[in-house]
This record gives sequence, structure tokens and C-alpha cells, in this order.
Amino acid sequence: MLISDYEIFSLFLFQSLTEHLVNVNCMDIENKLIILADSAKYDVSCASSGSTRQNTGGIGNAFKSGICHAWSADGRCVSLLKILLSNQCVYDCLYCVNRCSNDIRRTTFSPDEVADLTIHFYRRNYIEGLFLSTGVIRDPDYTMELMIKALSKLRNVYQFNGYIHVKVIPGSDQKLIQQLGLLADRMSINIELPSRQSLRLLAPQKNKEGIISPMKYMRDLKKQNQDEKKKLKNTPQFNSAGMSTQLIIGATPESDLTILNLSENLYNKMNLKRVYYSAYVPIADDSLLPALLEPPLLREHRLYQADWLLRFYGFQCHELLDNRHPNFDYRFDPKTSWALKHIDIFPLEVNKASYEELLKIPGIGVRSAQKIIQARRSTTLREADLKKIGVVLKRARHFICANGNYMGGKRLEPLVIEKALLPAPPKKKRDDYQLSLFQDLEGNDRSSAVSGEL
Amino acid sequence: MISFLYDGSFEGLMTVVYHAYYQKVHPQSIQSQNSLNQESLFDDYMNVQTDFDKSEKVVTAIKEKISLRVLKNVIYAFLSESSGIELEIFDYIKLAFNRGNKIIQMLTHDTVHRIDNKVRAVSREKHRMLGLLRFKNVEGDLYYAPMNPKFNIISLLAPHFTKRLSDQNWMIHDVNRSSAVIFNKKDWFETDIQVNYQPTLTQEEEFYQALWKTFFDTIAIKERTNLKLQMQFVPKRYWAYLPEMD
Repeated sequence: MLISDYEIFSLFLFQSLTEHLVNVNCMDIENKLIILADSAKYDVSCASSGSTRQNTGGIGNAFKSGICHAWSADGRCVSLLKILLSNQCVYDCLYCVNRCSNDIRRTTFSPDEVADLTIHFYRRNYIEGLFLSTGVIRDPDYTMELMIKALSKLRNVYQFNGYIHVKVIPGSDQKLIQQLGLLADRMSINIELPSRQSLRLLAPQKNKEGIISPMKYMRDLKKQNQDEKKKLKNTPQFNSAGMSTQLIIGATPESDLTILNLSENLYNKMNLKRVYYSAYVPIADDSLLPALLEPPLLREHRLYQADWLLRFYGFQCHELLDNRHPNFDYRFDPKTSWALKHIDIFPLEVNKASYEELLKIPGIGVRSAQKIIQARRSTTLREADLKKIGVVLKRARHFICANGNYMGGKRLEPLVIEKALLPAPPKKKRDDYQLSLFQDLEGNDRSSAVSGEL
Repeated sequence: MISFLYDGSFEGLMTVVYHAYYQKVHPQSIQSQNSLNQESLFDDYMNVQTDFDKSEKVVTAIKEKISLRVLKNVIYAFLSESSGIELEIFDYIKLAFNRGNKIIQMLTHDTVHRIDNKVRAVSREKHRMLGLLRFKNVEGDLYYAPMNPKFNIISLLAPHFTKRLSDQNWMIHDVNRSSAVIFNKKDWFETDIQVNYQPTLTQEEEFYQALWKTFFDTIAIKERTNLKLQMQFVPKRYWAYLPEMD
């Protein structure tokens, strides 16, 4: 009997395919972890806050303000076991390391492996919980079902009450989204590219509506759940810590204005808890992507600061940026930039200014503003008092009076203040091993580069 | 002016507060017997015997007449173990009885400011250790967590892990202070412990420690390496008990 070339070829193909499958299944847990943590690391979300889940006779609980458990070599906090369920993916998004056309090792955790790893890490206090993301295996629904299996093993078999953040896959069935939301504390869908055009260019299989519609669905479901909970106290919570998303910064040409405007809409209209910004790290060589030498970390940092201004300082996007100035002046934090443009409302008297006014002063954050309000009830604040309270005088002094005394230099003029705020040119270069970004930043700025606080 | 000597315990200090307050004397200093230095032996000291009833009276008075918040500040400041803290605490309590709970807002008052700073430092380390404490699975069905904190925060950590890791036996060991908290799936209690306690790791433990290190190394983005920033969040003094910081 003759075997045609085609048959030999398909036999060979079948053989190598089964070998490959055996290979994947036998891969030990350590190798899987290397592959699936490596693929997950570009998702910058790290928060473990916002949930109040209690330990009901099993293991674990959530901690309202979140807890960081370790800090990796890039200075980012590790709070959750951040892994992909699988890095196999049917999509081919150019910016993504897991795109199907990329030649990398592929593997998939079984739901049991995910649950076991989480529990063993949690018992040792390595982590606050699990952050499970994934590539799309076969189709969205199939993948979502695997995620639900992993989470349900954790919640229902291990009685795990720690924090779980899970990625929702656009295009999956609404019933599955609802099931997942009853198991997770936080849910997120990454928008990644901040405009329709960029999405079309770099992720042709995705579209804006496909991402926004599950967000809307989740927002409405949460609202409905909250209403039900008011009537019936033991209604199980849906998505208790809210939604978040991520935007990639610098892979596409959007301005800061476009990005911040999008964030503002997501906060106001979608009730998102957090928008994360991820400086684009060149991972793919493609003519459609910019050839960056290093990730735009300073820009990312300024966007985080502006994001904080939107959420906690009563600023609106149009106050910070407009069509004439669509990008931040990266030399200053956005609040300082804003203050320099509105110099006529300064100096403010710290003993009289309202809380809202205090928040607009560069160098005064939420905590110092609250402290000023408290402390001035029993005394008149002077310069030394402000130092005690923790105001960053280096910046604030140019914009305030304490007990009638202007604390800045001779003149209240933007150019004079700008000059005083900028660091003196460096005398000698050192710290070659370190990224240049943080050299110019003050100690305070440096920690807020990660915490995002101002 | 009298100098007081006490046994170094919180109850002891509260007994001193009781005596000084009712005898209407302002202490010149308050010192723990074991921290007493040679020179000051020539001074006059009043040695105060710890009295749990009197201590309880002071604690209750702070709680009921001022606030729980002020009591919390007193306890946290005491746990800072910084030198001279006893007298600062005395001044703080005296001011609090005088001004009531308003003291919380008097952020620029020197006495309050000093205590606030200590409270903040202790709270910060407590919060940091909630994340940085590492339990190891050791022979004898136990999860063992050695640590070397700057402040005496062991009693502040225990309630958190009692709620969280409630279905496993665990022990937190403050190595330098030779104290430990032990939890038996029901209650926790504090005890002294020998300094060279070195339990044997289980095989499972070595396996998961290795996995954790793998995860930790993999999760960092090379292009963003920033060791200074990392060090700012995890100062060297905590590295000894962190398996990932080898």
C-alpha cells in the first residue's frame, strides 16, 4: 500500500502535535510558573484594596486598604500572585507578548494548579491573594469557564476568603461574567490602547464596543447587586472591590489629554475604581510600533499624578490640559504646572483657606490638608508648624502665607518659582546602574512614583 | 521632683502614672529597672511595684474619660521602646486629662507631636510587617515566622494573623526580643522563647520557597530595574527573613 506524501506529512504533523501536547501537560509547575508569570508581568495593576471580605471559617480575609508583600527588582509592589491561566491566545494584538504569531513557549495551568499555588503562597504570607489573567484559549467562553473553575475551587473547596482580581474576557457570555463576579473581588478589562484608531491598527480583532459593553454590563450588575443588598443583607456580593482597567502609554500617538479624558469618563460614567497606566516596554519588533530605547516612565508617573488629582483633589481634566496644551510639562508635577498657570489665586493663607483650596496647593496632599484643618482649630499655624504637620515646604512655600507671612522668595512670579523648583544641574554623574528618571526626583516624588500619591 | 523606677512592663508604667498623678508630683524621669545606667544609681529613686489594679484604673480612665484613640496612641508609643518615652507618655496622658480628646487635633503641640511621631513610626512598621512576615512550614504541623522588627510590635500583629490564618498552627518569633506569639487554631498567647530555636523545614516548604523565588524573580520587568526604589520599600534590616531577598 502506498502512502501519499500528504498522509506522511499529516502523520508527522499528528505525531509532533501529540508530542507537543504531552510536553505541555508534563511541564512541571516551576516551568509553567516561569512562563505564565513572565507573560503576566506587563499588567501593572497591583492593588489588593477595596474589599472587606471576612474569614468565614476557612482561610484568609481581605484588608480594606490592601497590603504589599514584597517589592521586586523594578521597585513595584507585589501584592497578588499575578499569573496567566494560559498564554495561548487566538488573538494577534501587535503590542502583546502573547500574540499568536509570536514564537514563544506556550503552556496552561490547570484550575487545580492555580488554586493550590494560591493557597500555599497565602499560608506563608507571600501574597494577599490571586490576580488571574489569561490569553484566550479556543474562544472567550471556554476560557472564562476555566477561570471560573479555578476561582470556584478556591472559594468553595478551600473556603478561601482572600483577595481575588480577575480579568474578564470581552466577548464572553453575560452569565459567565455574572458567575465570575460573585467569586472575585475586583474585575478588570484592559482597554490597553486609548483610541479607536490605535485599536484598529494594532489589535484588529478587538474593537472599542467589544470592550466597553461588558464594562457597562458589569457596572449595571453591580448597581443592581448593591440595591438588592440593601434589602437583603446576605445577598452575595458581586465584584465587591469594583472594576479597573489598564492603558498602555507610548505605544501609540495619543496625547495626555486624550488619555486623561478617557480616564475621567471611565471614572464618572463607568464607575471604575482605578485606571492603570503602563509605560510601553518594547517587546515586539514591528514597523507599526515605535522603537523606544526605554519605557516612558516619567510620562507614566505624571499621568498617575494627574489621575490622583482627578480622584482625590477635585480637579477636572479640562483644568489640567486643553487643546493648546495637550501634554503635560514633564518637568513639574501636574498640580505645580496648574498652579503656575493660575498664579493669581495665590498665595493662599493656610489659616483661612478651605479644604478644597488647600488641596490645590502644590506640596499639600490629602493628609496634610486634613491635618492643617485639624491643627488650626487650636492654634494659629506658622512656618515651623507646617513642617511638623508634614507639608512639603520646598514646593508649598511659593504658594502660601502662614499667619500673613508669604513664605516664598521675593516675588510671586511663575518664572521665578519655576527656577526655584527645578533641580540645579547635576555636578557629576553617578548611579549608572539606575534609570535616569528617578535621579531628578525628590525623595517624596520617588515614592509617589509608585504609590501615586501626591 | 522624684525619679521613678518601674519593671519595664506597660502595666508597670501605668502604675507609675497612677502614683505620680495622685501624689501630684511631676516625675524627673521614669526608667525601667533593666535600662538603668550606672551613674544614675546615685540619684534618688522611687521604686514602683507593678500593681495591676492601679494600672487597670489608669487604662479605664483614659478609655472612658478621654478616648480609645488616645489609649491606642499611648500603647503604640510605649511599644516604640525609644529612650525617654516613659516621661513623654506621662506628659501626654497629663495633657490629655487636661484637654480631653481635643488633644488628638493639637498636632503642633510639642508633647503631642512627639507622641504622634512615635505612633506613626510604630504603625508604619506594623503595617509593613503584615506584608513582610514570612511563615515557613516546619516539622510538627507548624508555620513558623521569625522576625526582627525595630519596635515591639508582636502583639499588634497577632490579631491580624489570627483572623487570617485561622486554620493552621502558627508561631511568630521576635528573635531579638526572645518573645513569641503562638496560635493553636483557637487562641493566641504570648510567651518567652529560647533564642536559638531552629525548627526543621519540611520538604514541602523547600519546594514552595523555591517556587516563590522563581515567581518573584520572574515578575520584575528588566527594563524598569530600580534597586534603589526597591531598597526604599524593603530596607536591608528586613532581608534576613525574606526568602526572596537572597
